[in-house]
Amino acid sequence: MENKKIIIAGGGHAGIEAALAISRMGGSCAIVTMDRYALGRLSCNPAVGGLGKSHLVKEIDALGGVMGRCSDLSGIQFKMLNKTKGRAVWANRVQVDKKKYPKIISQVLKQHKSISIIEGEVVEVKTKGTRVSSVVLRGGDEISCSSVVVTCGTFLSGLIHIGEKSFPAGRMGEKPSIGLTESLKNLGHGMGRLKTGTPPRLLASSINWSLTKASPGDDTPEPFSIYSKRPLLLSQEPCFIVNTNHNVHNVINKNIKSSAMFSGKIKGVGPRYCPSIEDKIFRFSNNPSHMLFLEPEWSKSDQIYLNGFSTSLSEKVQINALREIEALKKVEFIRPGYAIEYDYCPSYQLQNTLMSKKTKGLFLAGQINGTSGYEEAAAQGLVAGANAFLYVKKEPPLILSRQSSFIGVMIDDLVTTHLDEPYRMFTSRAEHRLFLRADNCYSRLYDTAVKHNLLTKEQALRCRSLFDKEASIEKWINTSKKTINNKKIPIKNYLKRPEVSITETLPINYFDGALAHEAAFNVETKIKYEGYIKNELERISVAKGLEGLKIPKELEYSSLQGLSNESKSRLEKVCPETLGQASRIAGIRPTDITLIGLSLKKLVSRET
Amino acid sequence: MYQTNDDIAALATLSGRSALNVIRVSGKSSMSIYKKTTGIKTSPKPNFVKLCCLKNPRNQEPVEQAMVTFFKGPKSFTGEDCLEFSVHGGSVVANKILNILYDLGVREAMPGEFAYRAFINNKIDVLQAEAINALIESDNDIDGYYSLNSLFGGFSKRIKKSLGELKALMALCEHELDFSEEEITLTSHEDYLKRINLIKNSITKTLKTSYTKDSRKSCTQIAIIGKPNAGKSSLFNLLIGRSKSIVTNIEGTTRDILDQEIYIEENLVKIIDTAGIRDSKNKVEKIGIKRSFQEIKKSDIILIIDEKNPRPVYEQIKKNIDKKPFLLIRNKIDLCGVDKQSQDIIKISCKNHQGISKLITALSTIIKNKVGVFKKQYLLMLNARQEKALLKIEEQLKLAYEDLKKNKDLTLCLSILYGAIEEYNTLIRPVEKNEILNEIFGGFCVGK
Repeated sequence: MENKKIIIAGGGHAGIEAALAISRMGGSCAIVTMDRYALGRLSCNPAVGGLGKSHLVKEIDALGGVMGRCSDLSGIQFKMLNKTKGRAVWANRVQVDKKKYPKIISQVLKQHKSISIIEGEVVEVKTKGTRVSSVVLRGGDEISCSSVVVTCGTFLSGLIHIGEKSFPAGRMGEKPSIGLTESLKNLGHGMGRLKTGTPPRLLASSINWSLTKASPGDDTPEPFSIYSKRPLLLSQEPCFIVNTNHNVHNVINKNIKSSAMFSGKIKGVGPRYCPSIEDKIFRFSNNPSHMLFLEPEWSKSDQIYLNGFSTSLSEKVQINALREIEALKKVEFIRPGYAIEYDYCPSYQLQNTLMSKKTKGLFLAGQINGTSGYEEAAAQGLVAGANAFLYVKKEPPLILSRQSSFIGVMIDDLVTTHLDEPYRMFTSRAEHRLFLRADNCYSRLYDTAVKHNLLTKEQALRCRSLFDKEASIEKWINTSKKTINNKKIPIKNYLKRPEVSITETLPINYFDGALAHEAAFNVETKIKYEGYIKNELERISVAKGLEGLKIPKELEYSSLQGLSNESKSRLEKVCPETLGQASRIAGIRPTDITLIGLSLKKLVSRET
Repeated sequence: MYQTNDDIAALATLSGRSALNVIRVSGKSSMSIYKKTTGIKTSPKPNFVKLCCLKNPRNQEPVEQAMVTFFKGPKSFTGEDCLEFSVHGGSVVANKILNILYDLGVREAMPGEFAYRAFINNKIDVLQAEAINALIESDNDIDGYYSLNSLFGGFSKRIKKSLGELKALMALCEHELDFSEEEITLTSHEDYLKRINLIKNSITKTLKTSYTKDSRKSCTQIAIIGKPNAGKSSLFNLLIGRSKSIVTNIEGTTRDILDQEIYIEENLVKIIDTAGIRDSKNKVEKIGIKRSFQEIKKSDIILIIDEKNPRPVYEQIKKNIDKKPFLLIRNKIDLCGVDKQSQDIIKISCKNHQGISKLITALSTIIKNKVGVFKKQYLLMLNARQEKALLKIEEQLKLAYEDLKKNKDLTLCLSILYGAIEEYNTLIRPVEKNEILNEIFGGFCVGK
């Protein structure tokens, strides 16, 4: 009898969503973590969501995941970004109480009896043939299992750099994890090295707050999750803005050599979109000043997160630079900013189920795949956990396509394209951005979620009540007319006008009850975007055509004349499963796709 | 569409009687085919023409003396190794050689296959492939001129530039959507509108300065007009170099219109002989005269010829000529000698072939001017597919502009612009659309 045990190696955002998904689906698992009190800890930014990432949080919620709900319960400021731009790119950003969030996570985990916590460190994954058979912990304990989900974040051979100082760590104040990298290498996986930075934490009492500009949250904070109680009753806390200046830049420029990145000490590649302050000043040298956000790390905390000042300059330089800002003339650090370098496993070595191509039953999710961000990690964790469970049960896996969700876009990007910097989600990564909106994520993913038992009965009920409300509103709209200038026009057409809003049009009784406003908003968006989405969907169907053309494993790219050697090696590396995926590999020309397509037809004709 | 990993061969020249024939081979076995057919053991020097004795490899029977050139891929038309045999004309030799090649395992090429391989191997893009076809089918210097321009990438360059500008704008737009307002506002809506408009205008301009082959008359038409027996048909015959018209001494002989295409210097023109203009009671003649006036209307240049003074004839039909260029010709100077007629009348004798070169020079000048005007006005020749694609792109850009103005929503505008990108792709790389490829390459002739 095969052991059905699933081990989750790491208790970060990826590991937690993985474990909870397994539990919801009816399975059981064990989270192996080096510190049981660090579960769900937020290493860096005290915020969840933001541009691109907010979509991931919503989709996690639609699949029954907890990141959205826990953020709602521990949020101290809610802000909807990009409201001046189209609805498809609105993003909810919630600053959470860093002390409360992990506590809420722990409470949630406790409610799931099928999840056990083991304090320890996974240092080796053992296999029988090509299948996972057990994990070995530091100290020698061996736990037999059928599946492992590796979610160890930045801990693998982690090395922290502050200026010229460097020391091994997984996170400030925590040990790194050594050994798993070697184990993965022995199983045939190539490993690489990445770098990510984090800003300093400032002492609140050392800041002259009167010289900063307050940036409050939204008047009506919007929760992430439809399962959260509405309205959100909380007292929000503002964050504050300061600006760098000429002097700050001078200090940094003069001392740029002490930055671990510039001194060449760090071998890993850093994220382009979270540039360190030295990066920003170097690259955008024309900009006279950059905005910095002072964000409290928990409610009324004395620890302030300095957003926008990610750095690996020496502590002395950091503080000297910041003290050139009026409000920070006397600032003190609780912790300096630092860069962390860590091992990762390039994700083209995974299938679109997040299972390793080389080792069956081995799943990787989160920062270890080269992504950056809690939300990216959590989404991967959910999918990896679900697929670990389905693998153990020998059932078909959960695969989210690019056309269905941002999670699908992310996973497809990870397994298809060669990353040269940490991957974070942007709405521009999706070709079908108008279709993949936050407001319709529940209808997009409901069927998948229900099919795999990812929603509780109450959650499924709540989704259906949302759909019902939307349906009744749509019905009214489709059957009603409005008289304008003595002409009767269908309400539907009237609503398509950019200046018209559904709140003025819909009869008041439709706004009663839970989720009524959400339903109205969703229907309005659907109507206003209808024509555009239709065109987008047409493009999706064309793309689906290419997706439908499966490339058999026997296809030998080396035999195809006309493919450049470069294309051949890229195709052999990624081993795309469909023609659509092949077309997305960087550097593959359209004529290459034609050639592959032609040979597919030949293969087909040989069989018939 | 076509198999691309074998060797192909075809007769590149028209079969039939001609002095030379060219047979092309393309494929990885080109080198070995060279060795087997020429019996030469050493590898050929690429791009060098060599006189060889071609032998049937089966029995070593000599087949032909040929000029053979070997091209080493990718420096060849198709991007593969190629061979070209220049052989004597006539079908006998050509067929013999082709049979030898087929015997060696080479496949008979389908129409357009060589160009298809050039396309697959990225030697040419679709627009250039279509230009090759257009060039071959050009029956006049003008279409040929424009086809050549496209073959050298003139059209492709414009489109790629336009596409590049659009992609840069969209990248900027995407970038802006990826950052919140508090961080960066890269550019204003007015800016986006301006830039979309600029790209749209360049497409509109391209359309305005291009013509489609069908919409343009294929060549300049020159009508010979005059009173009966002025010598129109004689001039016509002279110009076409053969007796085509019926020339008799009786007035009113040419009843119908006769026309012929000839080259005047390098320009293809159509000369039209007409029935003499006079008042006639004859029904048939009347019809002929009516058609003469129709020809004046349809033609581009009018030659007015008379045996005494062409000017009154001109005055009579001035209205019909309107602003068209014309030449006044006085014929039959052999009969009454040159007198003090004004300089602008060209004096000739069809019978004695006098003054003809002056006439040709004057006519040639007018034709060149016309061509010059045309070339200034038009920069590109398009086929129907290309024109349609450009119109679609223009439409999408207009839509995007209107939408951004109305809705002020960059995401919606962007989604329309993605549609425009699709249209660009259909224009220059319709690789996923096999029907289009079939249409393009299937329309070629064999050996291309």
